[in-house]
Amino acid sequence: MQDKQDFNALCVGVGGTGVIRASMILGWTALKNGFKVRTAETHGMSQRGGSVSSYLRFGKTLESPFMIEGDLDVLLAFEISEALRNLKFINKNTLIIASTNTVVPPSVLTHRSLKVNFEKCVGCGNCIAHCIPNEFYLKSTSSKNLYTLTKGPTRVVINGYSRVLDSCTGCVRCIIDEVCPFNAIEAYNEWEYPPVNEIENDIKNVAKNIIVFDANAVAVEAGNILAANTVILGVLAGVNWIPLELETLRETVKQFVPKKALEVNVQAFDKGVEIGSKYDFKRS
Amino acid sequence: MSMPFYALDKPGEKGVVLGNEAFARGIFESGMMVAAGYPGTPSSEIMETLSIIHKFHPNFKLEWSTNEAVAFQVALGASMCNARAFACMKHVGLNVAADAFMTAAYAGAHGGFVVLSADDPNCYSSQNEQDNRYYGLHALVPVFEAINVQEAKDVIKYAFDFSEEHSTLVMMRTMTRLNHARGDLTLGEINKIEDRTYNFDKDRSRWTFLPSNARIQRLKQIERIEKLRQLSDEFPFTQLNIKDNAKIGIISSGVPYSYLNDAILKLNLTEKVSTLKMGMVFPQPEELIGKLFDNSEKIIIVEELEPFQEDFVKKLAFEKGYNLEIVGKKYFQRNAELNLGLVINGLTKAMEIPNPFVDLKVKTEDLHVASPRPPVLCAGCSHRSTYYAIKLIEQKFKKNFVYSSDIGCYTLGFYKPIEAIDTCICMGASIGMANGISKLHDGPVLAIIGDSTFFHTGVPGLIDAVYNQNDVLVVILDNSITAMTGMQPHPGTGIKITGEPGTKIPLESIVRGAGVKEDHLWIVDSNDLKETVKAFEEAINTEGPRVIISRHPCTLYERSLKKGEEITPVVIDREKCKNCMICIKNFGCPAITLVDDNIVSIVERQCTGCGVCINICPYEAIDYKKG
Repeated sequence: MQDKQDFNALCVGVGGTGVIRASMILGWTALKNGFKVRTAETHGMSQRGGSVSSYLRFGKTLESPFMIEGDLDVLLAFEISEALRNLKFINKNTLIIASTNTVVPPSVLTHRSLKVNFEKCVGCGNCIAHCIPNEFYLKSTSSKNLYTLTKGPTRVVINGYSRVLDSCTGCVRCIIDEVCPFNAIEAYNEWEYPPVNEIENDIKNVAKNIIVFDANAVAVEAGNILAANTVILGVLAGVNWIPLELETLRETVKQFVPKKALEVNVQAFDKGVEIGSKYDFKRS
Repeated sequence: MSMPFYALDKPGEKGVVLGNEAFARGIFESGMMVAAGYPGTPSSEIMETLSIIHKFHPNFKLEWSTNEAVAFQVALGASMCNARAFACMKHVGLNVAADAFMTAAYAGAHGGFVVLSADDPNCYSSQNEQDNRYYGLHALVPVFEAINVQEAKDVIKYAFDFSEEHSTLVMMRTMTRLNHARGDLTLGEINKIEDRTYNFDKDRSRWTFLPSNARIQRLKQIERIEKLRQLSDEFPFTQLNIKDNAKIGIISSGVPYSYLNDAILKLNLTEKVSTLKMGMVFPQPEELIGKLFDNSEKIIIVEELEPFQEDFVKKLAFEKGYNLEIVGKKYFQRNAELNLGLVINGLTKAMEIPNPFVDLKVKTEDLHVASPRPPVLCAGCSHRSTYYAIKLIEQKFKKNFVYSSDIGCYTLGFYKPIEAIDTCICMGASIGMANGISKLHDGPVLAIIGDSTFFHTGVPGLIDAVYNQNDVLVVILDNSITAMTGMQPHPGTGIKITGEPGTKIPLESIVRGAGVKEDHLWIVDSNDLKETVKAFEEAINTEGPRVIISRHPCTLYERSLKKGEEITPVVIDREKCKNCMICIKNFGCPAITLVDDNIVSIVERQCTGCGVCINICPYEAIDYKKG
């Protein structure tokens, strides 16, 4: 570690998880510890549910705001699927601190649909007759609300097979209510949010220095769920993996959080330090 | 509010700031007197930072202008009055200002005049990634670039001195990676703006471009750029670094130079390559490039986007009679932005040396793929309600609607589940294109445009529609703020950049003034679905140029105004809800989600209580939370 000149961290999450603030706090800490500092951020879309990431570099010789893909010392993930998305930047020594916090993108739900297994389907049309959104489209049921939008028939029978159309809402009521006598309907997710335990396994499969924990729960214990990003900074300080001094980081956190949330954030930071100090990782 | 670091009068103090904050600081330090701009990512925070600095140092003037052309003209006028003047815009904004820019470049500057163009390689938040260095070449205006946050401040500050000393416009060309990067900054001295007199410079033949004057100014412009060409070799932010034993010479500038710097260190090439870092990227330092030629067998040009320097350097080598290998775009991609990995990759290939950094990464091919996270309209966004009403009417009329659209949050209506955007080219184009489409298309033609965009360049299109009696329905989505770029006020808000009251210009007064008849104008509250649907139904049944102003404040803005106020969220009545997902799939508010994979429920923390979804559930299962 002594001969290492430059250090690279990547903070990732979604809008509202405190990515930019955490990166700013780390940047100021690095400056106070005598380093040059560079960050590169993606903002703009953050408030509209987009991914947010901030690359933070500090050291003695560096100039540019981006590291080489793979040359990452620390990955801090404030949302678990964002950790998964950014595993392409890590190497086998990268320290990963990730919260199990999940924010499912709304678009996952709007990309749900159904698939018909043509080997089983006989085109009986029972699914069409029992489709709830289709009832509204055909006005075969009366809704008291005048403003229900259905975009068309949800499926049709062509050449003896039932075909799912775009207007299917993906509610899977037909599967749950078992309306198909031949079990020919399957749920189909064009985009999928993988289960948290499987994401965790993926992380374990590619990295060894990892701390995956529920930062939200620790933050709630400290007094406010919004302090989850401070918990993660505390864990980083506790692990002592990159040359940022714990006390400087703690002071910088205090400098950057709103005054009324100071107590909670100090608590959150210290709880994080406690968690981090239990680990003793080695570079190989 | 305590004084932020970048407003402190403490030369020598160090801090970490955003690139845009550094630009604003440099502009402030220079003694800039008048700044004008139009918001546009990645440039918006420069004017916003200036407005914060203004709170503590209120003796300069600044405004959000109606569009970039006006912003440029405002700054030009101020320069004519001996003021140091600044115009701020994103790269495509300069297209809007280009008419004035091309001719003002002949006359040059009186007070130091810097126009900043924030380019956006990779189109992070833009419709294209045009390379605005060509504007410098086109208008014969010198173009400066900075490599990091410290230089961002230093170069732009110097740009004002340079502009004033040589009576030239200066273009500061930046890129997203600098505007939205943070880095350490050491503050400098603040020039006093009181030390000069401000009066209109009554040099009439200089500022009045009658042909007889223009011909004279044109000659002066050519003379000026020739002089500046000599100065490029002595530009303080341009550095030639010749290594005695090096056979390779590398030319770069801006953020790509920072990658080059790190690549040379990483690859241990410090003694093996000579470098030329350009601070003035146009006109180029011909003598320094010649020295690099003398000391190299091969020249590599590391630049983002177009082969601007490569073309020039090849031409120069030809003129000076050098027979050198000169490479650039052969090894560095022309699209998107560069990064350290790409520069190392291109450099090692161009130099035919091994790249030791190819196998750093872990293998991720067999892992799950994180679901994409495209941006969506916010929970409670009033645009969603308007779009939903349009979709209901389209369903009812079963006609082939065309949605000619524009630039703003509402462009997100392209994505599922709304899918009510068919075109988006540039600011204000929605109405112009709709005018053309309406001449040929069989079906209703809608032009969908936001409030700020309408003020920006939408108005001429509407006047065209009225004048030529085009059969278009202009839908102005009025969320009463410039939302996409981060809540900047505009003429419709009646609030100035400083937060002081200005004169509020209601959209409807412009629409009426443009000649839209009273029975061809509907003004509705977007979140009142009944009223909005009715207006669309009537409008589709009406012919000729007509306008719906669908108005409701941006939900983020509304919440920031009502901070601390209790919100009554909606809830789902579990007994009535059949989990049909019509609300999710066809309305798509992010505050409505699934739990346990198929139970529809409300995310209370996200719900803004707008109540629009109450009207869309077929089972009337959604209502406000009681008690």
